[in-house]
Amino acid sequence: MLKNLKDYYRPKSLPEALKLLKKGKGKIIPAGGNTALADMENPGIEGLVDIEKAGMSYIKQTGGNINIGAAATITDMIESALIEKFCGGFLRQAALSVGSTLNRNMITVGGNVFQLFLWSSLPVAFLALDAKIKVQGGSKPRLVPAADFFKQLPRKILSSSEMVTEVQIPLAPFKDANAAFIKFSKTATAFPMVNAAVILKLKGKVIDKLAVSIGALQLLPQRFTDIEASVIGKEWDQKTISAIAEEISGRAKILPEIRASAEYKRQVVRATIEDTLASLSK
Amino acid sequence: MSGALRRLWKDNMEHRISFKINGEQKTISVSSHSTLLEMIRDQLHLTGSKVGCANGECGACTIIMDGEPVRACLILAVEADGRELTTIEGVSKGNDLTDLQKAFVEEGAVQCGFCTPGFVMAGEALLKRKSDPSDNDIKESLGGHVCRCTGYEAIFSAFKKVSKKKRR
Repeated sequence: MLKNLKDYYRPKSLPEALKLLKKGKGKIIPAGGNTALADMENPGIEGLVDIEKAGMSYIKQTGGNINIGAAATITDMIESALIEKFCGGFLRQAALSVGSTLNRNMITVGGNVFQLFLWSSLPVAFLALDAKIKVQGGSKPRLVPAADFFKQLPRKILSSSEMVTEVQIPLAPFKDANAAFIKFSKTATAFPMVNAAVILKLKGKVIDKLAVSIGALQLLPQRFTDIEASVIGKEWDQKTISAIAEEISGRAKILPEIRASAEYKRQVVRATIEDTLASLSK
Repeated sequence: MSGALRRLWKDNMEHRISFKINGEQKTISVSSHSTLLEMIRDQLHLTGSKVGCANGECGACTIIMDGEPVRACLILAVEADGRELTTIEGVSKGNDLTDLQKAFVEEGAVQCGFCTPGFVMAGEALLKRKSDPSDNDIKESLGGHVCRCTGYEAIFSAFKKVSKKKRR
């Protein structure tokens, strides 16, 4: 892997890390858990900036957000009391769906967001949560809404001197919400065939908030905010649940793959959403 | 170059790194793109950690780095700088097997033995964190390890045997 790799840097702060990326002009990239490097043969990469000690390994509440630093690992998320308490442990479920303990000890939140593989779990959860992705290294820091960040490959949104430094999750919209993250796969540690993040808030017997995002169907996670908006205020019953599941699964873009046909996956999406919505409202 | 910036670079793409492995301090040169697994096996001649898939899927290369079980095939050797590593060779003291290693033998959890070092490392890391792991804790730590021989039941029994022993 990375046969032309010459330099390995260990900056002690974010400004140092950003200085290196700028200097590298695309030949120096951030390195978190490095689990993606095993398959990387890019001869253009000459340097890695290890961000582990650059001050981004935090998970904290700041004002109305949970802020997760890009160098926090998936294991850090699982062990965080803050993450466990948030939305009934929804984000913790998403983190636990990632690979195995071995991988989780190394995979970083920033890496899982930026690399955006077909099987990446956290982008699916962050999309449903209307998270904001902090990007730094350009002329000024920017906060990119998840809906925009995951509209195309993140490497097309970031310049070579930029990197993901933080994910911000708003707390208020999800107060009193029930949520679940489901990974459908052949085994516990296999890549998912379907990922689904489902968030539901009822006001009595009426829908107050709904967010459903799905992943592992095509490269980018998907969410249908128009469908979500159309059911606000509707009575919560089995007919509504089935209609939501039918509509979302019908609209989802699904690439066929060797493990399962698009039609099979579509049925899984429908059943997953329907079952999850039903269980969340109990 | 800033004093706070540690740049480990030489003209020939070699890096000088220092780390502790199995209790012993070492300083060696590694190439930029070597993996930790390559370093451990080829340079340090500790061949207990196996090359299974070289792709982070099978767990046969598992070592403990700063207390956490990790896949050595997915880590660059340079990342070992300043760290504390434990390989399967460093788990037991001479010929005295650990409780977990003994349980593996007693429960028949070793057949070809290729995956065994990886499982043992995951188990030792778990038992250091939780002396009394639940069934779920055990299953979580076994996830990401592949065994073609045993069907996993005997391996699980070995873990349970040790956790029961620690419970008493």
